[in-house]
Amino acid sequence: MAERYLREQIDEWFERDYRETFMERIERLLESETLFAGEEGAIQYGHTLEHILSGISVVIRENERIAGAVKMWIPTKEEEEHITAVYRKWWDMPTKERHKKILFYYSEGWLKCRPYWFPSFGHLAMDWETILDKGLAWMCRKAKRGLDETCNEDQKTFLTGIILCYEALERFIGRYAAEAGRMGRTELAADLSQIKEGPAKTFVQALQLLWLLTLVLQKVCGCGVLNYSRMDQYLYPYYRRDVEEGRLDREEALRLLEEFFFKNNEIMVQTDHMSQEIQTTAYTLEVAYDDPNYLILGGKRADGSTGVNELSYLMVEAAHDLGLRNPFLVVRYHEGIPKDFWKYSVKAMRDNTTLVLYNDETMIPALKYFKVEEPEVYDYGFFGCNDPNIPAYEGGLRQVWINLARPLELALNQGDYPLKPRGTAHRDERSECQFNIDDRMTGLMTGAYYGTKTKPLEEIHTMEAFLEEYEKQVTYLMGEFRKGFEMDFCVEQKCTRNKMRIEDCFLKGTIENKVTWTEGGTKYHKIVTQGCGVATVINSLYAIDEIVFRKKEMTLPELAGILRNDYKGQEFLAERYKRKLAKFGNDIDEVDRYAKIVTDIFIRAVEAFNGSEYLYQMWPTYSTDRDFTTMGYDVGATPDGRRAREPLSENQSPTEGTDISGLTAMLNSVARIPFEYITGGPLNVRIHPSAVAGEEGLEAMCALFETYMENGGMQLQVNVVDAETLKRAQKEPEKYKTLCVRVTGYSAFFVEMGKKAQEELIRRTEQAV
Amino acid sequence: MRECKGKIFNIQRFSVHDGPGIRTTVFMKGCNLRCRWCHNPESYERETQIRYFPEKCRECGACSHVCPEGIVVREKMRQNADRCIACGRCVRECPFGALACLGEDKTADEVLDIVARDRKYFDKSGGGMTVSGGEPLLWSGFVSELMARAKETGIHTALDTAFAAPYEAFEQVRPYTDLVLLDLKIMDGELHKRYTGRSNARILENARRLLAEGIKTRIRVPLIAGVNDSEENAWMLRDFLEGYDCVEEIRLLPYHNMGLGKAKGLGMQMEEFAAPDAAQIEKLYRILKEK
Repeated sequence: MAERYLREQIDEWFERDYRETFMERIERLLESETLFAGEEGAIQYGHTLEHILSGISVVIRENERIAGAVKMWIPTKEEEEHITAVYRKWWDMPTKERHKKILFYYSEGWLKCRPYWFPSFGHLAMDWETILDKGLAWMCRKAKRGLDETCNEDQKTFLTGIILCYEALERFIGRYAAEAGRMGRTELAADLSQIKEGPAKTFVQALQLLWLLTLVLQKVCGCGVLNYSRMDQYLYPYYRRDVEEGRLDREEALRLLEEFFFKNNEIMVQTDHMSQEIQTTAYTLEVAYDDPNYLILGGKRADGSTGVNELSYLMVEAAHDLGLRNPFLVVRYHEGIPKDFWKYSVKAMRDNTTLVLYNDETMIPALKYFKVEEPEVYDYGFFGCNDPNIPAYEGGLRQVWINLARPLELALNQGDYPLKPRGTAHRDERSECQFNIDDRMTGLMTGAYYGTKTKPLEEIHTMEAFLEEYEKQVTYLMGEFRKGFEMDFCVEQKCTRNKMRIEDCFLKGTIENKVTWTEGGTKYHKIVTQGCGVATVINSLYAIDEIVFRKKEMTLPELAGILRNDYKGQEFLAERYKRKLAKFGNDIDEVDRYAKIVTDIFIRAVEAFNGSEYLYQMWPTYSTDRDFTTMGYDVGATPDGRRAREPLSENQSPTEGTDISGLTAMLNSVARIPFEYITGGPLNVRIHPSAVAGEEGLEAMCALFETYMENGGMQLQVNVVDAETLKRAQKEPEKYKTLCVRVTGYSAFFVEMGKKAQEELIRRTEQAV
Repeated sequence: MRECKGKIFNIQRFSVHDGPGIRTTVFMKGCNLRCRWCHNPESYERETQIRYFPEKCRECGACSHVCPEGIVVREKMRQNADRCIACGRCVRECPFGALACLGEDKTADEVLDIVARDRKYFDKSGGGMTVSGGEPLLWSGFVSELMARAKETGIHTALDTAFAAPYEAFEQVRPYTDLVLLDLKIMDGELHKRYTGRSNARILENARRLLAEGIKTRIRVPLIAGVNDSEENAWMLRDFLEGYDCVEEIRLLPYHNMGLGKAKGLGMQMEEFAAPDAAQIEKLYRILKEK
């Protein structure tokens, strides 16, 4: 159990009013808009950070061993309206104009708190190891040396901005040190003074520096959704040295970690960002509201040995003790992972700790396949939501959700889109690129998409021939995305000249190359390319094979006609296809073989538009996040009995309600996906608590998950909860405040999710074995 | 030789309550007891049956179109269901999954094909295959073949029996049985007869022989409040098992009412029982464990 003072803080946090806002940041930020208007990109950025950091309060609480918090209060109605109006003013412009100011964004909500001259993307891992090992002054000196070399004007501006940021950070930490001194907290003051400019020397100093950076990155700059990467590796030397020299013991380390973990939650707003309709999400004025920060444990080291060490256990224990949603722990499985650590991790999962499993044996080959090199490939990790990341060597956020059910529909209609046939669409619609600028900016494929003209169905006589047409459509859409991406990139290169973002201070390559990561500063640039609706497509392809080519119940044109009409007048047929045709997730070879076929097609299409001519490479994942519903809305009826506009299958899961043969059968099916080409994405598994109760249940769960990994599975995350509990939590939310569930790539407190999301989770949980 | 087939009403994968580790449980159809609390009432009859799910039915008439016996669904009831020959045509036809076939004839190889797919999970967890029911010993020929095949491929086998069958039936299966899960429901003969329809004389006699042979056994007792949750029953059970080292475990399985819905779908009436409270269960465990 966490210490009492921490428990009290957690309780207080649960009670905090959702309107409490980090007003100091907002006030200083608004001031800086006019103060530094007209300055060059990176310099304006640096001055803004400096202005905020010099003005916000320094908060040190009595019992805390790690300092760093922000002062929050509830704004008045007028303040709230004023801020909202300013946010609107910043971004109230056509997408084409917006794009010149920010390269990518998730949603209006995500955008609103990010000023156009002070943007950050987050979704990445800094070079934490070097930061701790060398300290801020060392990094600053490196940038200054860069300035001394020959630089063009843009490079000069870039490095000057970077230096401003380092110095602002040093002064900010200096203010903390002074405050600690004033309070008579000698030890804390000494630690803070050390890390103000210098490297961390002890475990607590390392956590302190990490924390203050997190606070600034996430809460001030909006550089959230961080990957702490392999913390059990890079903190271990500090831990070991402290223990050996008698400065630290296991218990104290645990206490510090729990404090650090809690702080990751404390700066968040109690809400669920994916439930846009709920009041807490709609209200928030904050730049960070429920960003998950990932933390990677275990895994193979470059020399092949296990990374599991004492700290790995301690971090699982800390997360288990707290039961909060952050950080989001990833335990990396590998052959020969210590049995007791595996059991320890699985036990935490059974208790609904925010902990998920990934498989080194598929992830490392997959990343290598997409040209990630040794040794950094061994340090792979993730940021929320389950997106792959190479710490320090890679920028971050570029993302596209490829809806794999769309090309299937296009193949059945020679490239036309039945929900809005080409004839009725505006002439210029989608003429430039199938992915219009709005979709390119958010990564989602919305509305009408048209394909290339493939063979008339009358001329298709075998399943193989149909698969060829499907592949043409997948490839065509992938090509359209690449075309749009490169068009945008040309614009970006013009607009990003001399700009910086806070992450540029802490990556490998940006300072050396004197340019922001988005323009080539780092070694790797990836586009997370998320294959969506995989089970829907597998089932649909199997259905076509079965109905048209094997049983010859009807011809392909007849089937396509029924689908175009959304099974109108054939409703029973839809029901029959839904229930009587075999489905993915039941360990049936004839169906599951399509898992490989679909994946091969997807990968070939990705590869067709990767290569050295592009700066950004697509890394394929299987992940829908929560967007399987919105994506399904734009897809007509499919041959698996799915009606038009119904949701697609979620992440890597079988279509809802169709895996009825037990967990082992489901996992066997999913393991048929050749994951050694897939670089991430979640498989949500719901387990009824009674199935894994007691020591025997735990052993069974360990064996189940380990076997899945051995069979070539990639990822697993579970909710061990029954539908009854969730329903009770809906009725009595105050009793279930701490019930934490995994949603897709993040965890949420169940009672804070929107009603819709709650219902969805309950429905899915009811089917749990 | 004609391959022998068994009537199976369910193959449940990732079973974790029917013996050690992760198991696949094969449920044989047909039972010679009629335990009033039975949670698998679909296992009573040896023949295939049609189960009807009124909540899924939309009375579309698809089933009556194909029914050779003229059974019609009306007002969420299968009219003249007693005429049913369980041919299964209606099940195949129903678009809504409102009808299901309970009981399928399968060969040992067909069953093993499914069971063996989880081989790695068994090996990793110390699990295997459990043959349950109904009463699997009513299918001793088939079950011995199935378990023999499983043993040949190195899969651990368990037999879940209530033992109201000739001991010879068990002897047929015994060479291929690694573990017996033995149900001893009520120790008092009269009570046993009242609640299960049969006396327990043969069951207990079989059990004695089994234990005397030293075959690894786990005892399972479905626990029904007011029926067999008395301390007296626990003491009798304890005395009965005294001295047999081959008894690995005694497990009390508190009653749950999930059988009621199934019974309704089969047109059967079943009464509802209750589970004893946790304190009582704890007390009984104490009696059974202290030696």
